[in-house]
Amino acid sequence: MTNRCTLQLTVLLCLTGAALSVNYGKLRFKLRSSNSACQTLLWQLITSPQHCLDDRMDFQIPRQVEQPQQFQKEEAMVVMYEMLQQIHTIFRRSFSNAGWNETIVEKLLEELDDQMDCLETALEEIKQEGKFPWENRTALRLKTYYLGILQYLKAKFYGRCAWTVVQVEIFRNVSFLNGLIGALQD
Amino acid sequence: MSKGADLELVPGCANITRPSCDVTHAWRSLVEMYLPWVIGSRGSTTLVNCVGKVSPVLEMILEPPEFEIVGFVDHINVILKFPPSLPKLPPGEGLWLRLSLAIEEESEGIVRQHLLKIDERTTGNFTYVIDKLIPNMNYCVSVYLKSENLSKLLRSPWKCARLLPRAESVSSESASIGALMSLFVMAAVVGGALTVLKRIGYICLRSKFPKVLNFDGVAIWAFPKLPPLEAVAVAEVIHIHRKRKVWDYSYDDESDGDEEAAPRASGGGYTLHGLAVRALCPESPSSATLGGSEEAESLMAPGPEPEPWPAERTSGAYEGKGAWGAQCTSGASEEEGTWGAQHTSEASEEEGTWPADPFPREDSGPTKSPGDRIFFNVDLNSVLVRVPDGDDSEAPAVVCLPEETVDSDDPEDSASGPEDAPSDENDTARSDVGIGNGYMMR
Repeated sequence: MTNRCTLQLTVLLCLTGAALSVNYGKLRFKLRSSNSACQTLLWQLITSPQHCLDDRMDFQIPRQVEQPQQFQKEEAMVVMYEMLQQIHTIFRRSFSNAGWNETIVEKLLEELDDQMDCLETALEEIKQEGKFPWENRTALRLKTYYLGILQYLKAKFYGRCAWTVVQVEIFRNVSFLNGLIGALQD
Repeated sequence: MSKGADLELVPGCANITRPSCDVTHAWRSLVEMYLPWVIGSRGSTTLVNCVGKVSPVLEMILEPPEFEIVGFVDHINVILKFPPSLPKLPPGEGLWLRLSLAIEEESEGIVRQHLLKIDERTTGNFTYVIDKLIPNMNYCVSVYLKSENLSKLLRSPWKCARLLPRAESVSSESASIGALMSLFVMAAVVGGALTVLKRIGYICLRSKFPKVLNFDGVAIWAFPKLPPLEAVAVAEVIHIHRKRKVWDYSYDDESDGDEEAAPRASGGGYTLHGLAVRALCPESPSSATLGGSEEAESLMAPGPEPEPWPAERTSGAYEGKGAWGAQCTSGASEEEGTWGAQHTSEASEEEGTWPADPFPREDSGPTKSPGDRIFFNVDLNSVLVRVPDGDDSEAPAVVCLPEETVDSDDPEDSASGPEDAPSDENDTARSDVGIGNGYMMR
C-alpha cells in the first residue's frame, strides 16, 4: 500500500514536472527514490544465488555506464531511458516463470514505468530545446547488451538459475542507474 | 556474482577464533553482489556452514567521525576527528560514492543541516563553526556520512551544549545606551533652562541697549525741542470772595452818582465779577469752588434757564485753563468793549441773568439782537493768574487777594461803556503784562 502510494506520488510529481521546464533537481529526486525502490524489490526477488554459481555470466555492460560521470545530462537521460526500457522488456517475459512473487514483479514494473514516464517528459523538453543526442553510441551498445541477456535466457530455457543470474545483473544495472542520476546536475 | 570467479579465501579471516572479521577490503566494486561463506568448525567437525548475500550499496553503513562541540554566545565550534571509519574502497569508488559529511544542529524541534563535501582522502582534524545562533539556548549536534548511492546511513549520537547568555553584553549595551540618553536629556534640560533664564534677563543681562535706543551721535534735529509753553498755558485760579452789589435797575442821578461813585470807587462802575481761579485740578473741582464751578458751567455753556442775578456772589470760580481766560481777556480788550457792551445789555434785559457763555457762539444762546446787548464787565485786576516758571508739572502757586466789594453792573456804566472803554483799554494797556492786568470792556 505504501509502495503504491509512493508510486502514485512519483507519477504525479513526474507529470507536474512535465508542465514546466526540466528541473533536474526534482528529476533526480524522483528517479533516485524510484530507483531505490527498484533495488529493494530486486533484492527481495533474488533467492539462493549460491546455488547458481555455475550459471554465472559476464554480460559485459558498456564501461561508459560503469563511469557515468563523463556523461552530460542529455546523454545520461537517453542512456537511462534505454536501460529502463530494456529492463522492463526483460521482466515482462518473466510472468510465466513460476515461483516468483508476482506482486514484487508488478511493483518492479510499475517503478520502471514511472521512471520512464519522468524521463520521457524530460527528453521531450530537451528535444524541443534541440539538445537531444541523436547519435548516442552508448545507447546502441546497451541494445546489444540487453539483447545478449535475452539470448542467454533463451539459451538457458528461462531456467531458475538463469533468471537468478539475470536478476543479479539487473540489480547491478539499477545501481548504475543511481550513478547516472547523479550526472543530472544543474 | 557477476563474474565467474571462484570462491576466494579472505586473508586475515581464515582460521580465526574471533566472532567477526572485516572482509570489505576484498570488495572490488560497491555495486556487486557478494556471497560470504562462513564455515565454523571445531576440529574436524563442521559446526557452521552458511552463505549469505551482501550488497554494499544496499547494506553498507559508513560510521560517522568522532567529534566534539564547544558552545559560545552565538555560535558552536564542531571539532571533527578524521580519518573516518570508512572501508577501504576500491580505486575510483570514492568518487562514485559522492560522499559528504552532514552536520545537523537541532534546537526546539528545528533542525538545520550543514553539508560538507569530502572524499576518502580527507584526513586529520578540522573545526566547523555553526554561527547565527541564539544565545542562552540549548543546541544539539549530530554528524553522519552521506552518499547519494548508498541507501543506509548511520547518525552519530546527539551532543548538546547550552550557549552562553548575552546578559552582560546586553546589560552593558543597555547601560551605555541609558547613560547616553540620560546625558542627552540632562543636556537638553540644562540648555533649555539657560535659554529661558537668558531670555527673561535673569542672567547675562545686556549692558547695551538695542541699537534703536542708542542715541549717541544722533542729530539734535531729530528730536526738536518742544515750543516753550506759553505763559498762559497753565493758569491758577485763585478763589476770591467778593461782595457784589446787586444792581437795582435804577438809573437815578443821586443813586447814579452815588452809585457811580461807589462803583467807581469800588472799581470804576464795573460790575465786577470776581473770577477766582484756583489751582488746576482737572479731575474734580475743589469743594470750595463747587458753586463757582456751577457758575463756571453756566458761564461756559448756555444753560437751559438763565439763573437770576444773585444778590451776592461769593464766588465766581472758573475752572479752566488760563490760556482761555487770558485769550478772552485780551480779546475783549482788543475789541474795545463791543463784546462787553453786548453782554451788558443782554444782562440788563434779562434782569441780571448771567450769560451762560461769555463768548457766545452761533448756536449758543441766548442770542440777542444787536439792540439787546448784555454787557459783562470783569475787572481782571481782581484776577490773579500766575504763570508757572518753566516747570509745567508743578501746579501754580495760589495767590490770595483781599476781599473786595464788587458792584453790580450799572446800565449807565454800561451805557457809558464805550467812554470807559478807552480807560479800560488804558488800564489794560498799562497792566497788560501777562495775564494779571486786563479788563473786559463794556
